Amino acid sequence: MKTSLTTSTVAFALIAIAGAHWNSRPYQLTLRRETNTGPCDVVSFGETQLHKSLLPATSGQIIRQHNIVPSAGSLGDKEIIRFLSYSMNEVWLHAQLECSNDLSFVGRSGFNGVEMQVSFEDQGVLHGILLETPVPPLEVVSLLQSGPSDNRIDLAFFSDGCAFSSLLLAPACPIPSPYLTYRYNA
Amino acid sequence: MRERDKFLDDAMRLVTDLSANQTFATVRPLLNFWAVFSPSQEVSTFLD
Repeated sequence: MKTSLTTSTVAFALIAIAGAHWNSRPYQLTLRRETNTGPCDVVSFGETQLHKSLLPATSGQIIRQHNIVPSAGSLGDKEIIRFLSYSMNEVWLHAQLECSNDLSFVGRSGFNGVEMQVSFEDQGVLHGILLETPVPPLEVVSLLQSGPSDNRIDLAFFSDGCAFSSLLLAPACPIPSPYLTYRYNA
Repeated sequence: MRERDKFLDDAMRLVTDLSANQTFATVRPLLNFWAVFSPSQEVSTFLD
């Protein structure tokens, strides 16, 4: 209890020193951690969309989401921890309390406005899939753009690798029959 | 590369259909379209 109180005091002191920085959109920090161990990897950090449970800026509120991603193989379970807040200071302070390793270097990058990208492999982890096989290259081709992705709906077409003749035979290509009829016979 | 080009052609045709369709005319300025391609080791197990 005493340790917790001390930690909180330090956190508030740090906020006071750093000064409150409020953003018009919330920040999201995603951490990955081995279960029952301390060090974290920073998966992504950047601005994100408005969250219905997050009060408007200046509240200093923070949302913590915690998921455990099980592994079927030998990789071991992973923890995915997300923090959402309008305050960049709050996000990094709470993250540091969860992790035994020093996040200040990454945090400073965040202060400088560097947005981190999520690798394809990490996206698999984020969505509950741990990959033991090498991740294949992924090519994203722009077909038609109407503006920046920040305020557009992005529609992406993925190739399924199935020829028309195989669709009727292959259970790996489960396209509902009405759609098949519409797409290929209409 | 033949399959990649075919996929991109197919995707582009869908984009053209969608963007030219009156149904989506009002939301068309809000949409970005992308094609995401990852090559396979083999062409297709079932390709004839």
